[in-house]
Amino acid sequence: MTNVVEFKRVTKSFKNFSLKDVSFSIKKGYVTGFIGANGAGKSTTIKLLMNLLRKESGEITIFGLDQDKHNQAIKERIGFVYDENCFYETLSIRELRKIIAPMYQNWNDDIFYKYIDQFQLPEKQVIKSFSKGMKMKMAISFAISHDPEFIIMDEPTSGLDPVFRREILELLHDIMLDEQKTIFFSTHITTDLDRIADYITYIHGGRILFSKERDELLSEYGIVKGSTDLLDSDIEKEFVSIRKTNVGFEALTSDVKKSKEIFGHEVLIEKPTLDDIMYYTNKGELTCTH
Amino acid sequence: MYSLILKDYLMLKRMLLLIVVIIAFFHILQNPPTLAISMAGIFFISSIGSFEDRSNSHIMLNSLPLNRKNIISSKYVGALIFGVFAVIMSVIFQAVFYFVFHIYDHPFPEVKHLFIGMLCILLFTSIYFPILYKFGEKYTRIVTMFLVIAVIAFGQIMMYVLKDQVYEIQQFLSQFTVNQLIFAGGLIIAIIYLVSWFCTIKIYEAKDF
Repeated sequence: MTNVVEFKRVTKSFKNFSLKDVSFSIKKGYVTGFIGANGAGKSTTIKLLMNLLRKESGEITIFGLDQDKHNQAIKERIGFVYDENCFYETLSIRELRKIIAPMYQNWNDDIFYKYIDQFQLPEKQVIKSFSKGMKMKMAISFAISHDPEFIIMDEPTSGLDPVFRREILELLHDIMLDEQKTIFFSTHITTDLDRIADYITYIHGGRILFSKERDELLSEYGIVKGSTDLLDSDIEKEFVSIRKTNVGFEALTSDVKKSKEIFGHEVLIEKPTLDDIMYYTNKGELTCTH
Repeated sequence: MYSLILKDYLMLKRMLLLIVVIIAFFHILQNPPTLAISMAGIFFISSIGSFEDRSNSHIMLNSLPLNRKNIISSKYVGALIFGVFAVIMSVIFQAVFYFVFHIYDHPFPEVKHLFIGMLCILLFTSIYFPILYKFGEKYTRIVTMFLVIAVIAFGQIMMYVLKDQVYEIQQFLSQFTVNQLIFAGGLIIAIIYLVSWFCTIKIYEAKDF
């Protein structure tokens, strides 16, 4: 299986925040969901990926090419959608197309106008007057009209209503029918990923905690529920983190098998959601396990 | 490159119209074309920079298949194109006012005036872009103001220091014809322009967005 992106020990520091030794890869032909709390480093990672930030150390390759040496060739093959509108607000879609289309060798007007029609976007109206949803639809139209192999989306669903979110996820689903395409999708709404993500990469406090296949992740992790009498300090170490209540405890394990061996039938083990994994990991500050 | 320049002109199409009116206005008042051209240039170049900073567009531009070098070069080439545009406008207006309204003594402005106007645009561009890309729009005004004050202060100090040499300096300059001096000035400004272009590329390449 080939990787579209490889991060190797990438470091970037700011005044109050830093990405430390970030290493992970994005598999070709799959949707990778990139999750993490607000401020965990999702946008910074995406900006490094897009070469908007200068890394301090480490190596980033995209399509097997060095990011700095082949910047232009790489960007030809990438479509991007960001959380905030970054297009010129005083221009119309028609004018923006005039500017952006000639920059891509593979630009296809048929695809572009297909989406503009489908999304019912007004071509001559200035972008400033668009709603957030319309701006997002426009950004997606621009992102996919040059038939990119790799699509990067930074929080494309945040701030959108549920109907609209579903629409966008369906669109991504359609794009993924073409098995050559790869999507990297950051979000803090983990339920979005239930529908489409094959892989999950989790970032926390500037470090990648894991990057795994979603099904594998959900089968390895488990929520263990039982009576607090069962716990002692050694057993507590087996968990990612524990939440104790009056009636018992709830904990996240990253090794369901082992938990079963330890507790047998004395506890209830449930499948976790991605939210559970995020919540307990945040709580427990797990160290790096790839 | 073509798209990038086109973008600047599309963004500022209304501004361009206003600039044409300003150039016309200067000509109605029979001002020398140098003033009209350089004012129009300062107006246009500072707008080219500020809308880019205001609209968060560095992120978009740098996500498109463009090199940072080309993004900056497009600004410098755009400024040159604008200079030519302002010169042409100036020539047209003087001709129109001469033939239609019979103001002005000559149908066309003197080449040397046009040339100096163009040099003013280039000089302003060379100072403005490195500051803009280094400090961002917010601080550019403050930095530019300090720079102007510094230049004035420097001039005052030089006047004071060189007050005994004024005669020699006049003597020295009077050896040359006006055209020679303009040519020398042009050469110096051309070099400043190229150095500024190169520095702004370096500044932009090191930037985080």
